[in-house]
Amino acid sequence: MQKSKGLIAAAIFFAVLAFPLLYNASTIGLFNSAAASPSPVIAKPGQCVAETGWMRHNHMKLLIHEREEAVREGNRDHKRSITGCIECHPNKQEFCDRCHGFVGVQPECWNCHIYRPRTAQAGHDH
Amino acid sequence: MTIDRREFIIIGAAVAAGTALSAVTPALSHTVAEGQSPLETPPSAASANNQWGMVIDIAKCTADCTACTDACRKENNVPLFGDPKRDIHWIRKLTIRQKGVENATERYLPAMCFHCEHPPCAHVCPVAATFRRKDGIVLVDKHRCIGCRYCMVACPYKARSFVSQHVEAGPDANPNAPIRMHGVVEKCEFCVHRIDAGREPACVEACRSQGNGAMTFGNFGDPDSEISRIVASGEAEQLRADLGTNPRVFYTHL
Repeated sequence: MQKSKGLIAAAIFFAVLAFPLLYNASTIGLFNSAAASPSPVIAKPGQCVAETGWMRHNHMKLLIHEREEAVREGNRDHKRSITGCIECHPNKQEFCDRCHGFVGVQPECWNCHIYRPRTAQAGHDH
Repeated sequence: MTIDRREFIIIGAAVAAGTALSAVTPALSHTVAEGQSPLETPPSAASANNQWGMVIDIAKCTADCTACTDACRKENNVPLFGDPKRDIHWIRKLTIRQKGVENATERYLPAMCFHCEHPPCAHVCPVAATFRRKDGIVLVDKHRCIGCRYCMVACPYKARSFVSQHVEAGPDANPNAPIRMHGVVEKCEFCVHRIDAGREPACVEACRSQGNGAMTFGNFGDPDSEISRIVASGEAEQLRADLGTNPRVFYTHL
């Protein structure tokens, strides 16, 4: 009797401990295999500026690298710039936000940069 | 069924480890062999052979013309908050008149960041957000700025403004230039995105097409450029040249 009481107490203890993890996992649909992976809409299929798998994991490194190059050195490669993304991925909600919402990160890119395609011949921002 | 404390802890640890592993494994299986990194570092496009600067002919600048300031606001999405203490100015039009002279003639003087050769703002910046590019343009890296405003104190020309409130991009915002976040310092950039595309700053273009052609933009690195010749002739003056900042914006007929 004493032992089973201890076990019940342990079960309750672990349940309380795991609750935040399980709760988060269920909110993002980790237990529902269909919703388990976010699917950003690639409006223009084909090759990105780097290999797709690499981009999926390192796009933030690329963006920060290009940012330093553009701001500090004036090396502005339109295709690899943050505003260059928009040309192939015109919808922020269906592209950036799908994964960023899923993993709960909030990059500040678009607080300053404007998610609209560049106008022709004008040069572009960092 | 009996479990002693030792067994209980071992089982607990095993369950915890299993949960953690199952969460980590899918992430690991996605890892891609990096191979050759696409993060190239090409040679700098901002060449030290170009030293951008400007000469402004005060005699041609008139009272009622706002072509340069309007063009700047439009090109760089510079907002007006409707509060003169907080408004952001990249280029201001100053009215100057001689002290102690009655009915002295007024002169109008567009003043922006002078892109000093020895910028005090860059010197005091604690996070190296303000820096001088190889081609002489002094820039604020707003990604890095922490909004401490030392640079605003250091600048003798009042060229800098602090973004004191939230700014939204309006429907007619220029998508080629960013807007800004609350809490950074900013100033004239000589329209660096246009210079890198081989064009002139927006104010100079507007002054020529809609104004009176008072502004001349050019390259001090080239001794034959128009601005180099004007400055070499000795007609042009800098503001507060005594401070030793060596501004890259000169005025004639001051």
